[in-house]
Amino acid sequence: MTKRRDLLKGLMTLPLVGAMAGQEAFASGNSKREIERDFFKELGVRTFINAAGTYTMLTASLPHPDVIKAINYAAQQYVRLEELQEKVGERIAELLNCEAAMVTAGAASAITLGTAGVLTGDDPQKAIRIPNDLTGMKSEVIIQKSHRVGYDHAIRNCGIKLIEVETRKEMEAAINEKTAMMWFYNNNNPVGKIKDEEFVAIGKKYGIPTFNDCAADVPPVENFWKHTKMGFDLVCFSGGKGIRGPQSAGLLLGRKDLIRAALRNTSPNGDTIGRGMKVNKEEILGMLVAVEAFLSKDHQAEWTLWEQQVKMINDAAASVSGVKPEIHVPEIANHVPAIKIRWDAAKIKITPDEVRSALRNGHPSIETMGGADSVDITTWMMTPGEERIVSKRIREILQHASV
Amino acid sequence: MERREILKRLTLAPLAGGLLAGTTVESASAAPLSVKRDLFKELGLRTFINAAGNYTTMTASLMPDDVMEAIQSSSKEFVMLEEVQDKVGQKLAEWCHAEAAMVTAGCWSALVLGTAGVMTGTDPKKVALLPHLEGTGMKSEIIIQKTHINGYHHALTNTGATIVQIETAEEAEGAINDKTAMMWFLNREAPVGKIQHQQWLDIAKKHDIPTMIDIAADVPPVENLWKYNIMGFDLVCISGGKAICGPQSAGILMGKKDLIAAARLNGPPGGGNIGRGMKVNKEEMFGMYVALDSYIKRDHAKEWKVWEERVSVIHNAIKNIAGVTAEKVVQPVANHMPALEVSWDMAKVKVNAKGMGERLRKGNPSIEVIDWEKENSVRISVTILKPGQDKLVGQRIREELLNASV
Repeated sequence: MTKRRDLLKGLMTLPLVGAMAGQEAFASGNSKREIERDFFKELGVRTFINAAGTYTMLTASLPHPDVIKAINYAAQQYVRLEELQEKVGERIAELLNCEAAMVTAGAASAITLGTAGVLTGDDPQKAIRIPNDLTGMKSEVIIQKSHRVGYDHAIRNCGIKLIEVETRKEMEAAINEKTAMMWFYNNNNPVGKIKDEEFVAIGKKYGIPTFNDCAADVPPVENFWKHTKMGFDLVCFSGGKGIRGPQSAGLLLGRKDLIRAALRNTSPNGDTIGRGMKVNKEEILGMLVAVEAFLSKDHQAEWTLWEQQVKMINDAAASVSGVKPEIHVPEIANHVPAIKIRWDAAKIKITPDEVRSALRNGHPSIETMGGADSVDITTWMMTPGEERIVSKRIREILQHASV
Repeated sequence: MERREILKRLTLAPLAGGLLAGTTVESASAAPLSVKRDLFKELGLRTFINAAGNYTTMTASLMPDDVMEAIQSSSKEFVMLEEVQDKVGQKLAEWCHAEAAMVTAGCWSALVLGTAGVMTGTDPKKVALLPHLEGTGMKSEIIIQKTHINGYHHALTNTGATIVQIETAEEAEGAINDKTAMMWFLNREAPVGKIQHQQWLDIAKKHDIPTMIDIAADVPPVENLWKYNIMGFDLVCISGGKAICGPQSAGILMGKKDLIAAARLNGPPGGGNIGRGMKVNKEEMFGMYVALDSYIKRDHAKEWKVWEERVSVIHNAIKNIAGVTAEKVVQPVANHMPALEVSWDMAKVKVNAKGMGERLRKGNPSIEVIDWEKENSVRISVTILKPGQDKLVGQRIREELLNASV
């Protein structure tokens, strides 16, 4: 047994805040502590104002307070994981007006599990053989060349081959007895030659299941049911972005038989491609509550708030001579008011990279996005009021670099 | 869809849900809930006393207060996911005497990411190729003892790798070739394998092949957390949501620095890789950090005593029932904790194990036990009972044994 003295000695190696909280914990046993432990400070992790958006590497979104309540609630009792998936799935399907639904470990997980379900149906013997031996299973997924993105790796994780096509004619010619599925990347609808409705129609004509990846495509809230209504057999969303569920969760919506098959390919079932894509009971209930909160909020009021925040930052940037900010709304993914800040390099001697870095290194730290020619900002992941700090810092940094 | 319709749809929800939704709409913000919701009840879900053990299907273990505090506290700010992984990983590694560590989406995820890392190294081009290995020149074979094949090896094949089964040391050496990526060891099956840990490592080191050991459910004893790192395994995988009581969907991969760096490239937040679907959020990472710290600092000897007392409580409750015998059992490696095996003479107690399981499940409160191992006995795990539940479990089993007695 470790002696109390040893424990305290061990604690001395912790940073001050942690040590204080730690001692408190030992002194009071399990009872509520007066001092809240600051885990970020304890480990020296930088926190920041998220003026970038729902990026996974920035931890995407902060879970809605109701989600944390649901997580706390769920942590107190044992249930059967499959039963929970089933009931939560039913409820989410009801709310989102589709046949069936399940909670996954993010949108990529939904893509892998949905694809696996299409391949295996209800046969666990087939599930065991993914991705190395697809004997007796279909093995090709058709995709438009313009829809090829890094996310399609999630389909390839099932061992299938992607068949690239550009036109309707090519697509119809590519369909054969090995065709398992047709995959659509919703964000690239405008750039593909085959649009969503035509895509679904081709799938239906040949009896091939269609999958639409809508990962970051709410708002608008209507997108939650638009694509299942349109006839896509499977549709997925990220749970931890605009919906503000657990960051490691997502949703797979669609046909009852395909969702059942997708569930066969994941935890708690062992011997599957998805066993490593674990979602716990806390995340499953958290996701349900997040969907409810998302549906019931006043989307119009929220949009107005974002517009006001964006305008404030825009005006602050524009007040510096030579700066040309531009407000825009991305068409599909991350469809929220956003700003691109560009400037005349002759008048302001700083690069966008340097601005981002100055924002990051200031107090409070601020994260933004953008490439070599602009600093990009959204406000939807900010706590209201933070737009004032961001406005001030942007103006300061640009002004300071003005010649 | 109109706003009106959305609201209409929400009122389809059971009463509590409907009320809640209404409240939120009225205030049009994330106002605190005035109505406390019993979500499991709302959804018609059965909760139960878990006298079976840390099974994933039964949601494994419950997270203690300090883990929940870490989850809540870390949900309030944005941070860089990689930085959390760095800093939490450093601590986990330090405590477990490993060079490096990372939090994964469970032990299975650790197996997949670790294997992927061995295959791809830190080459992003290779990362983008998995699981399609043909013609890539990547090493693709993993050597396993036949006796270590039990389902979990499937995780390794998630990467596209193939399994080469061997039985003896001679066969192992013979199987090594220029396609050999890794040698995998399943700790729980060590007693039945012909090759033990040290010999396995010796063969691998001789041929410079990375080794991985799966110790998913193999604490206690707590020393196992560092034993295999010190012994020289390049990668060690463990479940986070079982005995350690971290988030049920979390696990730990620890080992050599370069291999952990490579494993991380194969998972989120990176896209376009085999592991992007195995997401772990910052809350789970901090939860894992606190859970492991608490687990290591626990008074393990005292805890063991508490478990043995619980076994005695249940044992005493069923003494003196004709035809019933009970015995304290401890699994040798995985789930190495005291449990009570209750057996009965089916001529005197007219129920089989499944039937007994069903009676306990349907009782009030509902109780889960291990009812699928033998025809005339159930096994009762006591380690994740809440204080006082041992008496309740003992009483219920006694009642049902008596009910079924002729």
